[in-house]
Amino acid sequence: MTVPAAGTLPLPAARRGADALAAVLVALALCALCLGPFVSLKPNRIAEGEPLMLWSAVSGPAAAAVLGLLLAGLGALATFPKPAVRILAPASGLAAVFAGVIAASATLVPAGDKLARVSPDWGFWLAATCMALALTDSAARARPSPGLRVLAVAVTWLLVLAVLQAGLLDGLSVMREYAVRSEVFWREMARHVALALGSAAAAIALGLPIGLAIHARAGARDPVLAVLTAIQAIPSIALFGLLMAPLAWLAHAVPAVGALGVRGIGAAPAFIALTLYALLPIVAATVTGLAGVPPTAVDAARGAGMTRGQILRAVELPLAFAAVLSGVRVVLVQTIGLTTVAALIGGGGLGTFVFQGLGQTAIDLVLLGTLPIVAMAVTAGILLDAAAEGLRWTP
Amino acid sequence: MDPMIVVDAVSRRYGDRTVVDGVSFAVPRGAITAVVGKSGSGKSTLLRMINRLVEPSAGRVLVGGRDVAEEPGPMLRRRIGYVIQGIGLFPHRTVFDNVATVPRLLGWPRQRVADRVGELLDLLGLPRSFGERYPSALSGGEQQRVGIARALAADPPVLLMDEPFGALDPLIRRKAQQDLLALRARLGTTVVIVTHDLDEALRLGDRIAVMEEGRLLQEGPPEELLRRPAHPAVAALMEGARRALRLLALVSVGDAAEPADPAAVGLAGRPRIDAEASLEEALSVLLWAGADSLAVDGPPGGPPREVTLRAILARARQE
Amino acid sequence: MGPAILRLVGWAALIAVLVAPQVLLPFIAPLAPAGAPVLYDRASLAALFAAHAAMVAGATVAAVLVAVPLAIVVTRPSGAAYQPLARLLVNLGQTVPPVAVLAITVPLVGFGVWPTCIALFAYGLLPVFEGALAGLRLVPEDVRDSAQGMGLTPGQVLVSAELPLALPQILSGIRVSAIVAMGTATIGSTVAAPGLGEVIIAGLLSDNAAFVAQGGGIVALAAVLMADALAVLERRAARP
Repeated sequence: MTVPAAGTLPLPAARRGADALAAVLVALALCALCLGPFVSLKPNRIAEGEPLMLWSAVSGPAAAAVLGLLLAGLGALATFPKPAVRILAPASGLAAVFAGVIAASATLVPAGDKLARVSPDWGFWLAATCMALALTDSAARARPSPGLRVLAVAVTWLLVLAVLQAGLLDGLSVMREYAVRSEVFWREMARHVALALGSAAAAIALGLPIGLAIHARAGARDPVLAVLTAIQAIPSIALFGLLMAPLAWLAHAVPAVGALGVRGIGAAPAFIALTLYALLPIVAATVTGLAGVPPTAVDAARGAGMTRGQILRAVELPLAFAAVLSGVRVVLVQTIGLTTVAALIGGGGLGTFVFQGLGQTAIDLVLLGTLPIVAMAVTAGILLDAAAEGLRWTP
Repeated sequence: MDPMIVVDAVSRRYGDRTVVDGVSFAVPRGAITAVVGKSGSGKSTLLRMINRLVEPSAGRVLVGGRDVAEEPGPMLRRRIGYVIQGIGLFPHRTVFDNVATVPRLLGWPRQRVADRVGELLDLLGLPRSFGERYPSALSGGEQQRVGIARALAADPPVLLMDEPFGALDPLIRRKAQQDLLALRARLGTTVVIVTHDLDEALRLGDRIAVMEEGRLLQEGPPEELLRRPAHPAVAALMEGARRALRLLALVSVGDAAEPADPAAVGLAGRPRIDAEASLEEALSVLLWAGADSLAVDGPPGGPPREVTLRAILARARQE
Repeated sequence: MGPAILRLVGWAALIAVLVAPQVLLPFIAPLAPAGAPVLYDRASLAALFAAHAAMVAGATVAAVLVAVPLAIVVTRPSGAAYQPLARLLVNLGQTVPPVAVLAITVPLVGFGVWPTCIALFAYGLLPVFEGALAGLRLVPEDVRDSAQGMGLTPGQVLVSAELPLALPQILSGIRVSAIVAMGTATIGSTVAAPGLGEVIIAGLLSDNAAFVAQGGGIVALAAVLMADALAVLERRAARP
């Protein structure tokens, strides 16, 4: 059997699949743009939207540019299946469709008209999603270092904030909703962040010591974990609701507590409930982390003459750190999402807009609440993963 | 001279289970005592009562003349070296940091710690560059040596070892045992080593303690246990049939050699044996060569000697 | 013996409450404001529980039918390239809060059961997928090797060797998914899905903690019992 010449060996199946994936997704995005409406134009909030294809929404040259960029990307992927191309093609495609939306918002909304609004339609959503998926997949394959990932996240945020600040997307229906209630938005945003980060911090402050206390004692560990798991089984709205009465009573009976702002409704029951929900992931992660410390290392540390405290600080905690950090990640992402429900009991937060949008069947209001929440959850996840990798002790 | 370690009627009970039952023996300064027994005989628990990783239910332990119960555990253990089978190196610390553990606990100045770590790496035959590496980058044998270096870092008078060579493959194990003997000769450390391997115990131990089901059956020099076992279990352990060979393995050729005619010693083609070898090896060579005496090589510059079959047989005979 | 007795008591309590809710009266009467009804009277708790459980069951089954084959595909050599993408999609399901999924799907599919099931499905994908992935990854190479060496086709290797070994992890993922779904389904009542969430929300709106306790308590108890039952299955699957 002759050995095939180098360069004619077939690529391993995995690589081939990856190249094809990016190309398929970009092709799908192209189809979406050609088949589906790009945006919908509404003269005011309550009127019916008029769906418009890409070439009706922006000027001819602009539409050609967007489609051309995607086609070029597809072509590049087919001819040069390299990692750099796999990242650049979807990235440029994504930038192109976003530019398209900006252009549409500028073109379709007459200057000075504060009521008319543009909503991205399924053509845009499908195209953007496909390319975002392709970009994330290719970027992840390149295995960027933790520092690079943090940088990418920071740059993305700066870009988005710059575009928003410049008013380029003001014609978008989401931004119209924002414009009408910008102060409320920032207030609820601050409340959401405070609730989410605060309860996560409280859970860590409580959960770490609990995990430390019970990890070595099976008699304590199993019941405590069982109780915390049972708490997870309680539906969030029920826990929020059940805390309301006792807190109201407490605020009534102990005036000092009431003076702090603790009341039956609002942030207090939400805060306590969120903290309780976050306890299990932290305690479980701490216990798992400590269980993963090699017992021989602990025995040797004792034999070398370290005190209990020294063993904890020098051996057990550093080795358990990675597991604890993964618990913190779960807690942060979970809490950011769960805080959405706090709005139901008056706790404020971005969930307010979600529920309002639900009640009014105004999807843009829902998006006004949802997009920041998703953005924060994803950012928190990426940052913590990067931290976990960056801080690990492996050589 | 006072013995370095005195174990005085020590017992350990867990509920109604007695794991160590009234054990008493003493370890002379600079000696190696090997504690042998099957698993479950209580030997590891006994060892751990010397540095108080386990508290005795009864009895007391004296190290260097002082009752170990008198000072806090961590302080005591900083003066006693401890090596276990799993080695237990800290995976998240470099070799240097691992070895430096006890000196740092004792508050030694930086330079002194660095010097000492370098010294120990040299002593154990490890390149100084290993200091920067992490345990996961080392082989089993290398990790084991780092474990011993760590135990000896603060120059403790006593070294406790619990099956330290169990995880090594046979070739490396032999070398490790030889290294331990060399270390002891150099540093004069008193060693208590727990092992279930009788050959290892006979090779290393100046004294052997046999334990079964928590009780000390016999304790003394290897030759005594071989010739005069005090208990059927000890006799069984010494494997009656191979007793004679084991006895021979304890004696070096140099100790049994006799002066010989220089001409006879220098004869070409005559089978030879090194003075450092054991009589067991000498017997094997004699049998193979079909001879009844061997010329002895070494020590350099010494008188011509030979070892005879007759001398060997005399040593192997039951008394 | 202890856990078995607790289990029995738990199931007995759940059945008792659903069949004869009056047993709850002494416990929750103090929670209701003066003059307000203590027991939810707009619909029978049993019927609501059935509807609730049906939604959870349906969504979980759907999640399993999607997540497990997906995990199988990405653990095959030909599908390994798609693993990061699959993970990404599944993670996305959990990053968008269920309330938001509800709010986004309502304009598309209307109110009631459907948007709720979609939200539960999206949220439940991740645990099942990760569980199946972990289970399939854990199958020792030698098992696959010897199975193929015996002449089994890849499909037979999957069904007779890999899946049975991966089963405990898959069940663990299903357990997590189902517990979360039980709680999350209560939010469906904000879009008029029938279920115990209705009782809780009625309680929140009328300041009636007795309603909140009824609805929340039944859901929590059912979730714990179900998790326990699945854990028993998991242990049986792990002991061949």
